[in-house]
Amino acid sequence: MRVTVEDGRLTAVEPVAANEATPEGPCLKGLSYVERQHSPDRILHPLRRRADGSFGRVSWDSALDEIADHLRRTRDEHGPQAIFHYAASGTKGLLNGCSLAFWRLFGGCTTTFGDLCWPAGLEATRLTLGENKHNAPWDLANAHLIIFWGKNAAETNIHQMRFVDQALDAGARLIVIDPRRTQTSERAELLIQPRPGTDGYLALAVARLLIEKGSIDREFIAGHVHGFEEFAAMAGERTVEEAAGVCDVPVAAIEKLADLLGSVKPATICAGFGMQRYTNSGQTMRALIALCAVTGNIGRPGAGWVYANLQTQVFGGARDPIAFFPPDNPDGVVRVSVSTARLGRDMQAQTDPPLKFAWVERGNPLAQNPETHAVRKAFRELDFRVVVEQFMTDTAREADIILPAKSMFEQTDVIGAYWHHYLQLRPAILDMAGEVKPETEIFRELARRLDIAGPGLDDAVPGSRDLETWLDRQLKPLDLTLADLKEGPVPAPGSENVVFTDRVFPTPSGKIELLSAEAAMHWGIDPLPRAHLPGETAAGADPDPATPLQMMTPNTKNRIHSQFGNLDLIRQYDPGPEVTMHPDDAAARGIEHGDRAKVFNQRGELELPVRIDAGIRRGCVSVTNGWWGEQGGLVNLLSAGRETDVAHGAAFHDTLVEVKKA
Amino acid sequence: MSARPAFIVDVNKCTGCHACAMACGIANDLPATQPWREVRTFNELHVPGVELMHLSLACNHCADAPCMEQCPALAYHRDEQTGAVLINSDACLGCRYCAWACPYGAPRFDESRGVMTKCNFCVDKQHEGGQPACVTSCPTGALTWGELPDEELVQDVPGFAQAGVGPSIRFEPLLPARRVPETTHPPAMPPWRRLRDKIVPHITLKHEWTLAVFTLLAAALVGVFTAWRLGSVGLDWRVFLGLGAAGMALSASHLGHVERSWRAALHLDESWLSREIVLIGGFLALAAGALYFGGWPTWAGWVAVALGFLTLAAIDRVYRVATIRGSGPLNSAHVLGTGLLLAAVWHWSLPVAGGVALVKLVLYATRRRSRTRLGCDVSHPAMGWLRAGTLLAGMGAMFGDIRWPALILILVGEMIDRGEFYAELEIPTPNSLLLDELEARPEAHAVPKGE
Repeated sequence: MRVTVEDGRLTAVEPVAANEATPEGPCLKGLSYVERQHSPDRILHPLRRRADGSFGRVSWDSALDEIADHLRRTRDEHGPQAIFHYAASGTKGLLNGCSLAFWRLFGGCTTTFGDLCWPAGLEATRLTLGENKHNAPWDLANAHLIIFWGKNAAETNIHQMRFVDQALDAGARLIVIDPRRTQTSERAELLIQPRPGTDGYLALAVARLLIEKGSIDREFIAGHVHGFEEFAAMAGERTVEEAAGVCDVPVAAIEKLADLLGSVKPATICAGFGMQRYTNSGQTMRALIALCAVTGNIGRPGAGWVYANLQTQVFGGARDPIAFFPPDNPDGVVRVSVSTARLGRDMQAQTDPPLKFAWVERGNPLAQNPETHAVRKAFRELDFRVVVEQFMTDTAREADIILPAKSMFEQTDVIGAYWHHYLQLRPAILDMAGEVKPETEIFRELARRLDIAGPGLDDAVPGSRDLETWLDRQLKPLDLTLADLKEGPVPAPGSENVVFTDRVFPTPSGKIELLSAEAAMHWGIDPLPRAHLPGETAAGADPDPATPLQMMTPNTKNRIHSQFGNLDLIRQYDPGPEVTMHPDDAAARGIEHGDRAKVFNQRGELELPVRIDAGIRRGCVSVTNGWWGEQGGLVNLLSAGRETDVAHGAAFHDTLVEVKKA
Repeated sequence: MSARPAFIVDVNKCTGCHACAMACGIANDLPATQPWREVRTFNELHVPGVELMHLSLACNHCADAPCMEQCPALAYHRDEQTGAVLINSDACLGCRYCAWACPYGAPRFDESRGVMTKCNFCVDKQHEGGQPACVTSCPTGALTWGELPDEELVQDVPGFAQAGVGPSIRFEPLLPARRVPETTHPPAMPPWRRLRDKIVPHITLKHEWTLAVFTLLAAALVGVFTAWRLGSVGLDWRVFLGLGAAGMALSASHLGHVERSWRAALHLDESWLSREIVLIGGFLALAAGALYFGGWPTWAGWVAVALGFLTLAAIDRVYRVATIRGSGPLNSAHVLGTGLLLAAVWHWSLPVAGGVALVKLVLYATRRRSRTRLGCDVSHPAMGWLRAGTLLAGMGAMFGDIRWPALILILVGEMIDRGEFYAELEIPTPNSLLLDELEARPEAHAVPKGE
């Protein structure tokens, strides 16, 4: 995006047509930076917690001296791994890597493995296709059939809707599979609303029908698919009627889906992230990709599996999701031993040494990680907590010292993406607000106090004057320079508009793997994408009558996780959390539209106004995630700290609740 | 006029993301929560079988702009180059009448400045060759910009009033294939009627009681002066002028800028509000003069009577921008009728008063009945009986020649009717039209089948 600065203030945010994925206009969050950057609520100087729990302004010297003292003492008494480093997905850029590099120089630390967002889908894709890449965003316009499976692009990927419209204008068909009737499903000819967490059953039923009717691409399968016979046999184990029963959708809908997928080419399946936040979701996602494979919808324009495009992860190191796994051979310096999904309980479970000190940056684990109670307890048990933040989040409120975080307009960096494949420069265009220092400067100041110096430090954490040289050095292996990026967005070297045209799949067999020995070996799951139910589900044989409702916590167009929701510009459209319920579920509980209700389970409770919406599936409730405690919507008070079946994701949606009138 | 620029809204592409509205507020430096552009959603609670749709609207810079035509203070003008209808905050009284006149809900009252504010078509950007911020910020290309076709009619879209005022907007309505997805589960009815609760009406008795009192007072003064002219009552010029001044002050009290009241007389050639103000000023002045200088020629008094009734007609005309469901063009609460009735009562002419009262009663009863049938709000039945009863009792008192009780009873009845009039006045807004549209859809009334 292009921004206008007048008298040191951001006054406008506009699109850049050179980025062909987003030429028309920024999303709501992008526009709202004019407020976010200059918000009176922004933290602009270091804050120290006082004895009464409030925060008072302190100087940088005082804050850094105290932090350095604590770091030194903790290292001396317990070893460096008593320091816990936690970072999430806030401000992006190459410089984010400096944090762990600093901790290595410090002597080590403990950090997390896994990720809150998307690992199960990434790993399912990696196991099946070998690599996480998909066709360029604009290629969707070439699709003749689009299936949005668990994805509400109109809210979470609005720029994709432009290409959907182009495809529809050209006569494409659109099917949406989602427990909710969404803005995206409004464009579709068919909305299938399965029980949450049963998508794998649905996919396998479709596969069975495709195979039975012979509407599969035998030539493609013969050449490029590994384990098809085993897959076909497995898909045949359950009848379509049985699957329809598990998913609670009509057989006719499954048949229509199979008919379309078998007859309309090219077809693209766009999968959402929410669907892979169940304990069975690695297998679910593998089953979905199998549908692309058996119909030959891979490696062709308008065809494919659109989940995540990591073609901009070109800066060395492991690509996601491998980067999320704990190392097979720990280096003894950085202990990667805390699961992001089980953050609270794993933090408490660390021994030798136990955790004593936490450093949090670019994240808000007290709102966003599962099982908020446990996370809060773990943070409170530590000796000392430092949080680098722009705003007074739930996590910042737990800190002993809050250090002000830079905004994305205040330090030059290079950013990639996970939908389009452009590398882009994010130049510093504003002076640091107030007393803000970028993380690189914070780490260098700490290094000085901890007697860490020399070229090692300059390599790990560049000084402000060396910043552009450092970035250029990262770009050099790619034959790129900052000057190139200053011209505009640059497609990442090696990126392709249509992927897998060469039919080279970097899997152990070199083919698309429907049968994955690696899956079995690495994750202990069935080598075939066999469907099973999630751990906490109302679909099981023996549902708990105390908590009959499946709770989903989807993302909204109005926030990115827990960011932006504190801005007036955003809150005018989304003033507060509410729980969405089906009319029948509400009526059964004597609840009316606008009533306040308690949403609760064995882990926690929220009190929210009720929105009665006939578009949501019976038996499901939904509260968008990302609300803060002060806004009354900490949805993870209700979720459990559980990992997905593969890749250490967080199974947020394995959550059953009950609702009663407050 | 050709080559006027226009907003082009492709309803098929709009996802209701609000980027246009937010960009509007940012580009025009408006308070964060008060952008000129607004996105309304049709069927947000998902009535099965009815499409979900969004309508992004700001000002449509109409060729026959009702705001500009009806503004009494000449605060509106047109930018010749772009056709933009612009408001001059230094000339605006803050009377809010343009908001009543606009079918698209474009002008809004800015509480902090006491004036109306609305979309300015981003004229500055246009003069520099650019396009409005809402257009350049739409991420899906649903809101674009083009040349207004000369003759083409505006397409029908839920929530958009076909007011025939030449709006600079065109729509691509929803294509049949994109209307509603086939779904896999039995339908259920959401409580969509509750959405009415969120609609803020332009006119309520609570906010407009000063106008209710003022208009009734005007009718009373016209009535009593007419009776004086007919020689049937005595009237002290000080009482008359005092009440007139009080009424004028009351009506001015709702203005955002009382000190600019004089501007209300500037737009006589088009604005009924201007005409009303000038007429009542003329009536009060001439009538007071006639009362004070008892020796004025008789015709001067008759001119004042004529001005008085013209004032009452103008008042009734001003309210024609609003509608009352279930009411014909004549309403029992119209002040012209009240003025006539009160003149007859003060003149003690039972045949005239009885005739007017009979017409009023018929109008009142039929309106009440048809509103009840339409499911519109009506006052408590006791209030209805009180209104009818006071009028009948007043007539009875006249028959029995009991002067003061007759007057008081009749005045009370007129007050009730006028109060109900303000409560029943409605100005259709995009939000209310969207709900009317939903109301009109058979799917919104189907009894859902259980699972």
